Amino acid sequence: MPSHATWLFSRELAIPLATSLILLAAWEALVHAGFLRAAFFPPPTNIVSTLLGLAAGGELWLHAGTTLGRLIASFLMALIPGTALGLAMGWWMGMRTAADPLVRLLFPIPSIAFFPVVIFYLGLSEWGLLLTAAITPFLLIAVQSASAVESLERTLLEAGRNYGASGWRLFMRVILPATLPRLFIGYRLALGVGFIVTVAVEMVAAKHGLGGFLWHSWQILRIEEMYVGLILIGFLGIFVTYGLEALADRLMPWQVDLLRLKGQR
Amino acid sequence: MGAVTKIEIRDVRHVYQSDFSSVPALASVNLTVGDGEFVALLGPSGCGKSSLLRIVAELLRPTAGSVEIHSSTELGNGRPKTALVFQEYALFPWRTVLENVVFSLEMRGVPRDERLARARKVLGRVGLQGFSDAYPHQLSGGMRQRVGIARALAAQPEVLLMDEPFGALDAQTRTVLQEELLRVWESERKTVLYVTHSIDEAVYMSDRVVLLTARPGRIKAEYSVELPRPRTMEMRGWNAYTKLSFEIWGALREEVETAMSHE
Repeated sequence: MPSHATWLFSRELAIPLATSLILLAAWEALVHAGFLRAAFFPPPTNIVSTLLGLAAGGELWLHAGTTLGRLIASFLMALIPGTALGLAMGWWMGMRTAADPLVRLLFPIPSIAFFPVVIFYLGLSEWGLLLTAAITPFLLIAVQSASAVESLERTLLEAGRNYGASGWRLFMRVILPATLPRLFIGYRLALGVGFIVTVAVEMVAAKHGLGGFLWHSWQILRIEEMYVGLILIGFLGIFVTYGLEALADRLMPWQVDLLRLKGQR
Repeated sequence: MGAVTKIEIRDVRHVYQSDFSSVPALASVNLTVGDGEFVALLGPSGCGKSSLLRIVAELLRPTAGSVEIHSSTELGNGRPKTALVFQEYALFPWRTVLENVVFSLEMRGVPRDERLARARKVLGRVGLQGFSDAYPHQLSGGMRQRVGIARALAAQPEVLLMDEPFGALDAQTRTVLQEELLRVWESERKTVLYVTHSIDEAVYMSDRVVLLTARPGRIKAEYSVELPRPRTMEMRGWNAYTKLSFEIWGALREEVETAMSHE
């Protein structure tokens, strides 16, 4: 792995940076030349100055922080019970038989479609928003966690038992670390889905948060602000994805090197 | 055979039950292994030898019969009855070599300093002292199985159980590891139950070869190997060695054919 200094100047960073700058410069030029209407496609320099203005005012951080907070909260609401249910489904045949049909039925329904049902019970509350954003990620994590247990290597369990682990310790020291890489497959997918639904619900039902900000700026035709919202949603997406990867690397140091060997990193 | 009995397998039967069928794997096995004895379990594939080993390891409950392992010292010394070495190594991929080796000591609550010291010593004996912090996937198959053996030795079991431990390795690595294992064993004289389907390996390593029939497995014959210790490579050229190998093959052949006709 190259050092940080060389990485900064490496092709991995330089090429995407160059393509982005070229595209933005082209956009800017096309607007100034009159080929793109500034009302619909404000020049990037205007968007950036709007962004800087909003950032200095602090409003933007409030929106971004709100969305981030909702995303984390709904993700945890999906992760904890989803993992528990999935592991139970993978471990106990009876649990699988009982829960599988329901999970299969609910899984294909887009999470946002649960919103009316949820607000019918919880009202247009913060909890309603969080719950809506958590449903599909919860099901996704449950399905993936169940399959993680099913693909658990039998000999690892035997080794754990033969070398003195049983009950809770067998779970914590063998089953959990053995399934963790596959659990994280579910977590990654769930985070992506959760992010989409969080922003979507915010657009429908929240004043605060980037989704609300974006929707509001469109309604009052502040087009620069609309683009600022889009950009921030993009960056927030990158930020949480990166955060989850950093967590995965921290929790599974043996996987970092394994994936690199397989050429996946 | 040692004077003191270590393992007593009494009338063990095993039937694999599923919702739709029942497959008899073992039909009444009786076997006594002496303290410090190296016994090879030889049989055609699917004869239930791995099942028998798992029954001794208490990973599988026999349909009938019992297994008793006599402790060398009074109970309560914390030594586990068995430690199993797997064909597919079954190392914990999330643990480094050293962490794998200390696993059983950790489970038993051995203090940290003591377990690390013991693990390092064992790693030294299998030639892995420089690899404590490596992860299993960074090692070759032969080195992984050295870790598997080190993990078993560190547990200080009453009985060492080995399930075709070198079956997944290439022929050269296998030969090297057989010799290494013999060296370690000859210095410790631990009781070993060694599952293999190789006549050559069984004769080369063990004091006694126990031949199992095709499924459902039962003991067909026993051969005591009258080769001196320490065993050396040259003995493979000895008359006694080849004679015994051919004798065993004569008996095993029928079972292999039976096993194949059932497939």
